[in-house]
Amino acid sequence: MKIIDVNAAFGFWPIQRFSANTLEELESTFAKAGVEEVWLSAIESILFPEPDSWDTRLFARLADFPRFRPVKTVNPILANWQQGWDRVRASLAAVKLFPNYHGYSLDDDRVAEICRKAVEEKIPVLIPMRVNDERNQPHFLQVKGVSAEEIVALSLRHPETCLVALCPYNWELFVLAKGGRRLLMDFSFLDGITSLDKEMKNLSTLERASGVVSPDRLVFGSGEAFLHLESAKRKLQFGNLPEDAAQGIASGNISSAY
Amino acid sequence: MKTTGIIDVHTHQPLGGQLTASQSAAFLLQEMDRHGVAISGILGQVRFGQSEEEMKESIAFTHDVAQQAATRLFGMVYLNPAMPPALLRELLDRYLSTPYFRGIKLELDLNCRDRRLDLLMEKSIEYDVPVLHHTWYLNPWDMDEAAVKSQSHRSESHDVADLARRFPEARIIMAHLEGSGIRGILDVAKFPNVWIDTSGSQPFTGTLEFAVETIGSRRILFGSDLMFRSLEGQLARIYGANLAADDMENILHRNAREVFKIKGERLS
Repeated sequence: MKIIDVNAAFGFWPIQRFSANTLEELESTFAKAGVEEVWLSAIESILFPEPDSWDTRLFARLADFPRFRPVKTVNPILANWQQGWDRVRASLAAVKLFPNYHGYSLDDDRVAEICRKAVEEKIPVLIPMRVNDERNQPHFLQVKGVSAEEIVALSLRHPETCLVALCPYNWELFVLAKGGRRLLMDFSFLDGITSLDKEMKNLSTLERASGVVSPDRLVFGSGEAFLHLESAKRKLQFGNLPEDAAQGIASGNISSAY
Repeated sequence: MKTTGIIDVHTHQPLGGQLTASQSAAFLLQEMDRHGVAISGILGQVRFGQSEEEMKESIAFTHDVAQQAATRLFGMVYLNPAMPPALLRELLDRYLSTPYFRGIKLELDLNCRDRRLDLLMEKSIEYDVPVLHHTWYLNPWDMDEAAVKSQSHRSESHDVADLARRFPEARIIMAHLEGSGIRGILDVAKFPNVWIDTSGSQPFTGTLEFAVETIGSRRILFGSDLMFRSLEGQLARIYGANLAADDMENILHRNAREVFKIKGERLS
């Protein structure tokens, strides 16, 4: 089964020590798991005042790792966001937005511009709702998750743009389900609550998620290097979904979405 | 890598309270079998500030669930230590003398520095069973008022360290590795009578490796927090970590055998 991981990142994060700390280690992790294509962004671009420096550094190294496809972090409050994007546009798998870290709303006109540009470039816009558990954030780095309602509203304003909400919690799926047809979600942060169906049969994480949103709106996202890829792999492995639905989640849904 | 015979020291019965003991046990076994878990410790249905009746009812239900699959499930007596000592003594003597219970479970009802825990700790030593204590360095900035209030008596890892210092003969399991994090691991590092279970939050990378480097793999126990979490996600925290096979074996089953006095592949 072909797997495309739309939610991976590499780099240094000051409050977490990762299991994979070099590109070689990360490549090996994905190779062992049989993940064919990995969309990778630079972690430093979340906190550093402008993302181009770290993105450029990472992308230059990705030529040696064909499994990895570059994802550009775009910060629309910066005057040069379009130039930074244009410089690397030919190679991009997607762009990534961090409105909660970079301090803007998804209602911002510049986000509308990003949505239009992504359609022209034929790439999705990824929105990580969080990178860690808010309950465990240190006092000096308290960042609320991106509002699921704002993502839904954005998707309805830009029905032609492929948006992917990354790292939603279980309960946020109920909100995201109300979004436009081209709003997709990954399952990296879905974990429990375990439940039963009417016949008293246990439901897997993906069976439960598929009861909230149509499985053709779910995509494979691991959350590496913050989360273990193994978790996403096991959720798919034990998903107990019909083969076509599982294949769609693994790669088909994202491939046909833009 | 161990993929069968795993011991999960931190599970809960299905939520909702609508299932019979038999149905609850069947649910747990179905999930355990799917993921290679041989034996699970059930901690009861978490209720903060439970009344005397609720506490009795909850322990009795845990007893009944464990009894349904006595070779694979064992219970922990989930108590509110703020209840009258006579009641606590009676419940502990009644249940720890049965084969269905192998531990005591404490949650948010009382901070573990409180001397009202002394009775429970002494009983755990008397019956030679561990005490599993919910622990979290919670940052409540994003929580509503009611949620913050419910956590007002919670224990943090430094509190658990104090408990371990006061009762060096007791075996203490500090629940939720990810909740206590790096600081929590350091808090209890010098207390050999404290083990940490791996449950808590999503399977973030790096914390388990830090724990193994700091306190060694012999003091870490696999815990899933099933039903609040899934086994597919929580086992990934172990399988995905950069650990030697021997360390994984320790975490996935060997240590639990020692802490809970489990001999053989099944409970006797």
